[in-house]
Amino acid sequence: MGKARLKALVTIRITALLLLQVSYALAQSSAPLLKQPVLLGKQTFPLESVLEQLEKKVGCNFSYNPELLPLKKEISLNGNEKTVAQVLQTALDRTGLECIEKGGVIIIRKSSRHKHLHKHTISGYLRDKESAESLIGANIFNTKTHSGTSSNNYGFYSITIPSDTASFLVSYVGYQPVLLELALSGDTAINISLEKNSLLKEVVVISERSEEIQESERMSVVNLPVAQLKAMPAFMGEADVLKAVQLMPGVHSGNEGNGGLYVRGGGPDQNLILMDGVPVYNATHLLGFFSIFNVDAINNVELIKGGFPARYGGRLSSVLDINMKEGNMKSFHGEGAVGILSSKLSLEGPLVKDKASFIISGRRTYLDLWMKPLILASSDGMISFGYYFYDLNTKLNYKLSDRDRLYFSSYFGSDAANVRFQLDSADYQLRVRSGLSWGNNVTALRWNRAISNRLFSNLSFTYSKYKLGVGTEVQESGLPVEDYEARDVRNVFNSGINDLTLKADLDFFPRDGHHVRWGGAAIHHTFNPGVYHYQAQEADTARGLEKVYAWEYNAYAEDDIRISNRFRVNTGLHFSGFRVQQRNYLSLQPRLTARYLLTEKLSLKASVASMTQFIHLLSTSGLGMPSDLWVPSTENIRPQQSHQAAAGIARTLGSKYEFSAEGYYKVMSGLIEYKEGASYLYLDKSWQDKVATGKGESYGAEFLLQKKQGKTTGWLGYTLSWAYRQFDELNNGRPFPYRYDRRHDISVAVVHRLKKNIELSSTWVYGTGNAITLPQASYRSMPNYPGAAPGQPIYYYADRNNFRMAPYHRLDLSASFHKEKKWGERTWTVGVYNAYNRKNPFFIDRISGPVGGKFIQFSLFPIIPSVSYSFKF
Amino acid sequence: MALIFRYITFFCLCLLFMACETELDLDLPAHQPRVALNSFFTADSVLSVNLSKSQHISAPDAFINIENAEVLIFEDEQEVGELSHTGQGIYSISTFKSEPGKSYRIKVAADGLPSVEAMDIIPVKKPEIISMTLDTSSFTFFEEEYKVHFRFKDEAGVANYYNLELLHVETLTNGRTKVNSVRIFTDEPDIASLTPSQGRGITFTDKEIEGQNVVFTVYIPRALIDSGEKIVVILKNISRAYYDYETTLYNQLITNNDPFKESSPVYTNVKDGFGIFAGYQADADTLRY
Repeated sequence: MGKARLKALVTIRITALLLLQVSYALAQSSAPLLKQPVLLGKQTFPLESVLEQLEKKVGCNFSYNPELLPLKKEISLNGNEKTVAQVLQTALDRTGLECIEKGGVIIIRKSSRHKHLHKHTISGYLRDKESAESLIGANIFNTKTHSGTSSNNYGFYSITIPSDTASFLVSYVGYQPVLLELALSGDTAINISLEKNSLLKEVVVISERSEEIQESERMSVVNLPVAQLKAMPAFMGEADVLKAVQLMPGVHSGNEGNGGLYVRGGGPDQNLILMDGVPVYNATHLLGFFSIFNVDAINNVELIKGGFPARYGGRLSSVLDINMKEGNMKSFHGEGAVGILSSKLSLEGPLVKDKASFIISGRRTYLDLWMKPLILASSDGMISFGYYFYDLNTKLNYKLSDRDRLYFSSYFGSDAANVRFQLDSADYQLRVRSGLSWGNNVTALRWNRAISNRLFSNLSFTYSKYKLGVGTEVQESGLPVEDYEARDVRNVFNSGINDLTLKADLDFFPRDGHHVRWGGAAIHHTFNPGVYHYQAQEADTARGLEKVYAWEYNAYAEDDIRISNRFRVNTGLHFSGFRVQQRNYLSLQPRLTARYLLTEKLSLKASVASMTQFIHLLSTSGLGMPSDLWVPSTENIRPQQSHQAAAGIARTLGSKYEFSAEGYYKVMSGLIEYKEGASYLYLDKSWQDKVATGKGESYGAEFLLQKKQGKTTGWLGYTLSWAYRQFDELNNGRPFPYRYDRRHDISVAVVHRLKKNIELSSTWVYGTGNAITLPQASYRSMPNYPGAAPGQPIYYYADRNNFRMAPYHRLDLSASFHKEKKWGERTWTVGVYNAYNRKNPFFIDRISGPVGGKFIQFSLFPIIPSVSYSFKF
Repeated sequence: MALIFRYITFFCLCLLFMACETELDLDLPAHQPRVALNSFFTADSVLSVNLSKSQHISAPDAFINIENAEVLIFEDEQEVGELSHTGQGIYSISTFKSEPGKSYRIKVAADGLPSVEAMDIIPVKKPEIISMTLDTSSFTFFEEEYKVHFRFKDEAGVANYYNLELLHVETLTNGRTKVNSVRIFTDEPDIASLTPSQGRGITFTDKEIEGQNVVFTVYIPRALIDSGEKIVVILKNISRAYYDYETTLYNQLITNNDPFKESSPVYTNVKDGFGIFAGYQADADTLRY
């Protein structure tokens, strides 16, 4: 029975009983109600049943605030209770409540003794028992007040309660929960360690409750446990965080294999991808087929699609917050894998036990190692081609004191492709070398300090760099044509963006159910939109855009507060500014997320959020090419802005399933796109004239059913959505569907533990085809010049994105076989990508022929098997 | 550079993965043919237009000429004559010569097709190539070109649009001549909205050269110059419609073969039809070397 219903029932009963029991009461002894004898026996039942039985058997009338009473709390009577007072004393034990009798009514209220109790703060860090790794977002649940808090990005928690005793349930997905019973005499610092549910052990079913989906005030948030991420089928055997995120409702993948994120109708540049809090500008390798995040080095992944907390800003559509591991403080460990495409190795351990640790993770592909010899052999040594990418993550973690911790982390990653052509003859030599490379460098120095039991600070100094380079070198001698001289020509195109950031964040936990955050940051951007450098014997010249420098700054205040047991809000303001080329843009962005518990298992949630983005990505294609250029807002190009509202429900079904349904509506402005036909290679100081500015609108509904416990885990997601764009200078000003407007999107992910050492997993995705522009008619063009034959045919496009590609669907399967060895554990994983060999559309091209034009669909990946061997020790 | 970049990336993909091709039977909407009208006209010349039918995208790229149309020409809204068919869909009128600064409207009625009409003007100012010099002394873009410097003056106070075209007049072995368009390269930094040549000359506005005496440099293949054959340079002052047509056509030509680029529609000023009806004034000179 829900609290609301019970309250109504109690009110009616009080009224009815007051009238009906007048005669009955007169017939009873005139003893006070609390002293009335009653026998309920030795049994356990909810508090609300205890009150009902007292009403029935003794005719008690109760008055209480249902918000204060834990009506569902199980009460164990020992059978020794002989009077109403004794029964209530047992029932209200450790609740901070007391009862008094007044005017024939028993009033249950806060204990007068309890009111004078001191508040106590319990704080500390939540960590993995084995590695001392921070547990981010773990729940600390007060079993008495049915409220709680969660650990922050550094594992710190703080909870303040007005009680001398405390009972906390500490839980985290993939870990065994811990129940803490504490007698408090003052503020207490406790570092709590949780033990993992071992892969090779049966899953421990959590018997006690932790914070459930309907209780969290947050909405449009997805947390992906790393273990689940690793267990899912992966393209070429390479587990990928971005690919896993794409399986969530509201997130689209763009094209086949693309690692770009298109969240709720937004573009790929509208995602704030954070690696340990530092923005990453290009999060993919190999034209988007792999992400830069090595899953062996990841600690926690969280995606926010809407209802953005005030601490986040700078992008319109999503925040993907990825925290990397800190390094094992206890002992030396390693893990790695050998696959078809790449190999990786991670090593971690203490530098000084329980004081300092390190982790280093590396990954490299070796396509180039087997491609180069093959191509050289097939071209008689004339052509050489190679491609590879690598990642290197390092992190040092030093505990300065119980309250202070210092982190230094860095990431280097790059893709590189090169072609060499060599021609040698007696009188002529030619050497051509071309190369393409792009990559990120992310570095952060961070200082955490627990200033007090309730106040936590984080100070960061970070550097993020993305660069792209394309170059060609031609060396030629002994040219066979008369008068020509030997030549040596080089040309290089470079572009990129650098950020230097100083950031401070503070977390304050004033009391149970109240968490305040505030902070600010200053970012210095250096944009290098594109420089072309040409060198020859007599020439050395450069042209293109000069570097642009800009300052971005922000400040925020965020309040997460439980207003009542049913009502909880997270509200705040994010202020940001951008100064570039003597122009200053300012933005104030209100944020609000609210949760109302309709019943214990069902809640209603709603959010509104405004976001501003000061940087833009100039993209010439939908491929997420590294050639896409980051450019700042300028005097003529305004920042992007969005306003999003969302509402939904969250419900726990039984003890294992979670269900959420959300509807959203989002409007965007300040979006830019190249005008029709413009290209990055002609980028010059007039690039702003080559882009069109427009608006976007998207709306839809998302449904997610998740199972997080048991032998079989996974989720079923469905999204129904619409996304449009409108640019005055495109499509004759008419609105048109966004390229990745996807009406229906379904994803199913299942991980099943068949035996203790065998894990099976599969994913299936379905999505409406992408919207593309195809011509409907053709006609003759004007001849090139007077007297010339007519030129090429001109194609007539009625509307932009007027055609839908075939739907995309794909099934991936994998099986993992674990085995414990003397030295640790090894796992063989076999998988199949695109198991039923679906020819999904990648692009459609028109080919002219003598009998007419025809359209050809090109597909990328057929069925691809994979096998990988991984180990850890 | 674009080619290098594209080749490398797509070479990667091709080697890595086996792409599959599937011919699609697309359910594209039916297309009701319309008149495609094409004409660039100038002062003191015979006005002629080419008329053909548009066709469904699945048809072969061979267009059907319209040979039975009624084509009327109006000058400043006064009818001045009817164009007669001279063969292969070309209609012309020799009894009338168009003049700068006047507006011209053309109306076409053809059986089974919606009637169309278009209107444009001939720019008042005729451009003048003040000088033209060949520079063979310094390096060029790909080291296989010579520099050619043109000097001309932009008229102040008027929005001008230009098209620069180079024609190579080739003398064949039978003594006849053949005209070819020369692909032009330029890296002029001060010319806004510059569109590199696709064999249709280069088109630009006077936004950055308003009222100035301009020296404009282009690169011409050395082999052409060295052949000693005639190269004709044509500088046109074109109408806004001409400019829009050329720039959007250029955009479409460079995106046609790139499935990852957004398609680019081509400007038309033909109401209820397709094509272009646009005026220009031109000055021509022969390159001397």
